[in-house]
Amino acid sequence: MNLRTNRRTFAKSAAFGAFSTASILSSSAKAQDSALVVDYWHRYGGSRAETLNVMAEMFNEIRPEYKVSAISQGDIAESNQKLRAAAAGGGLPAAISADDYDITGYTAAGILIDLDPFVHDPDLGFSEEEIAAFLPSQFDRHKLPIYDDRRMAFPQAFSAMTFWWNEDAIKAAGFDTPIETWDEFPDFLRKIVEANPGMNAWMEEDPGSRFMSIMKTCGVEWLKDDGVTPNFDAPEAVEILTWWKELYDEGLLQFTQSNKIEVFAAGQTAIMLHSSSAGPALASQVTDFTYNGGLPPQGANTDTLRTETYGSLNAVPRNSPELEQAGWEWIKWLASPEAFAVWVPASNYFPARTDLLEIPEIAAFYDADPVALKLLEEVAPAATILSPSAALTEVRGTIVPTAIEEVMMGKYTPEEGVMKMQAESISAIERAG
Amino acid sequence: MSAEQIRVSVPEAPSKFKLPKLTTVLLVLGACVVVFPFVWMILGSFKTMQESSSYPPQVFPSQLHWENYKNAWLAPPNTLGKYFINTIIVAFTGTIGQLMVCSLAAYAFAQLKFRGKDILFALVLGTMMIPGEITLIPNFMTIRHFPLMGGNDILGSGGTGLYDTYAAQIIPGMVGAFNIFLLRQSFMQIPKDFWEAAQIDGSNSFRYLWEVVIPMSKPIMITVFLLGLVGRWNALLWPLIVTRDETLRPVQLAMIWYQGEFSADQGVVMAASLLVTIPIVILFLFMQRHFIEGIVGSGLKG
Repeated sequence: MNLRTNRRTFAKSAAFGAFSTASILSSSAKAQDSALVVDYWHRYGGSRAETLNVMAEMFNEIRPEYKVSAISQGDIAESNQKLRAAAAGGGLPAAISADDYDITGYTAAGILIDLDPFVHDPDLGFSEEEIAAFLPSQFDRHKLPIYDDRRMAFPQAFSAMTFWWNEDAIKAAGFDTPIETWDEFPDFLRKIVEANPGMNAWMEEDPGSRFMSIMKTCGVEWLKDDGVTPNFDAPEAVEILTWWKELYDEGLLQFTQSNKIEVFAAGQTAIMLHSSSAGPALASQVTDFTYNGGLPPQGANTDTLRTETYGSLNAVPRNSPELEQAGWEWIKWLASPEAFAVWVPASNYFPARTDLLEIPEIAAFYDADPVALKLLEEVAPAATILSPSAALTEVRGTIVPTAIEEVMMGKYTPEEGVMKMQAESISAIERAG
Repeated sequence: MSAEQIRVSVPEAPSKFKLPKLTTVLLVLGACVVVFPFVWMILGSFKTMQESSSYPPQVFPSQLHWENYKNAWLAPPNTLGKYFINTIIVAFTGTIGQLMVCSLAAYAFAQLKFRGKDILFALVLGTMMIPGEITLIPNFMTIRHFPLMGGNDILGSGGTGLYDTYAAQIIPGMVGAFNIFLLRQSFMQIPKDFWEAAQIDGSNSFRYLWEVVIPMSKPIMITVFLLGLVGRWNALLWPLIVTRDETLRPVQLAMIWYQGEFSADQGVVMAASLLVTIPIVILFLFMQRHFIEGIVGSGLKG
């Protein structure tokens, strides 16, 4: 009898336990309302993530048929893994924010849809007047021949490689403004260090990216016009590596693992090549000197001003037609004046449109930060992306920096270094397909 | 014989535990290296943003900025407390579940006789060679297509499965080859006589496991518990992959809310990191004796 009672009690307890566990474990059963759930995955944290939440609420108020959730998915690498898992296992969001090389990868994997049908749709798209308000280099940033001329992502706001300098240090060296071409750059650094004993000239933490960016400012993209052949055999590549080697041997160029914003803000370096959106970090950290920013030096014979675009874009993954449209409507709204009014001051990114300076919030932001306004006028129009390629991550992250290091260490001459870059990049591009 | 004489006549205890001076110095240096990041984190948690980002680095804060802790607590949506609760639910439930599943498996491999046991055990151990990155997407697909959950049909289609639930964070880690191996090694050290005696008392395998084997393996159970708990406490990528709702995310994902693009208020980041670390350190301090016994008993070496 006792044994039977115990078994019954045990069975009841087990059933209760199982029920409770199932209840806890299935806690995702959420109240559904009639609004279509629109997930937007991004890689922002901190105040930018909070701002995106605010913007999602704004959108939800004016479009009650949608319920946008802006969800932070960690850093670039983590959000990439999350998206790829969703692509394989299901559950792609309605819209994403991703960087240039991720857009290229996702397009190659068939994850994204062409946005052109939406852009030119009479009801859902933009008018000709609205399209004309966008910076062409941003509007068409991912409408490219390698995508068969499809538009795989859409801009919101962006940043660009900027030349930041310690104004006090360059004035002490006799310069009112920095030099304009890379030819003058080595002597510029030599004079600064001579006039500011103890100061380092230039530190770089990411030599591969920087080398390719400087090639761009010299008018040479890292890929030739065919989009598949590397351009490291261009004379400009050897020239750049040659003066890098000279500066390195003189101790004027150092490669560091330190956060170069902190080093620059501490007055330890005279110049810094960094994103235009580093402004707020500098404003909060620089206390002992005046700094300024502008377009990076250019090649001596460059006819077009150039720098590299940074910052993520928005795209729509392959989904049901309803979700694809919802995703588009959300990212289209993110490029609207009311969205920029919130996003530009919060992110310090350049707006992708040129018709926004009359908006009170944006006008107030630029009035309060003259350096940001200078960069908007000077740097933003010159910003374009590095030639996209599925091999870009390997070329920029491994092949180029390794060759640079070997040249700096004296293992190869600059000529041999660029030949190595060229040969290995050809292989990487072939491997990446 | 006087006490003095006795004291003189008793030979001095062998000094086998006395460490050579060089070893002591090296151990102290090693301890300093291990402790340094923790001390740096504590000091950093009281610094202003300027002090944290000063170059060369400033070791001590000019004054104690306790508000960093308040800011760290309030920064994430629903406060850091909500993320703590999630971590506690996932870490403790998952670890207890892991102990249950792994001890049953370990018991089978240690005590039961069945055909193919060795091959099966080799297969279990073989799973230790598979990198986590390889199993990430298959595990995600299993969670997403879990039948009859989250609106899924019997074939696992039509809904979200266990995606965005506590279960998704808990279940995939409940079986671990390393833990099965550790427990099996410990269970195998229990003499067979105990099992024979238990059988005479009318005990079955489950009762023998529960009343004899597990109590006798307390150190290794605690070791497995601690290793599992720390792993779950620090989990980042898997919870990120399987959740979308901030109210279900664990404490490591709250760190997203402290990061800026190029700078963060390191004082607040350090305060948050300290808050996240302290519970696990305290737990370890309380259980370290058992943990060390467990590691020594298992025959593992560092």
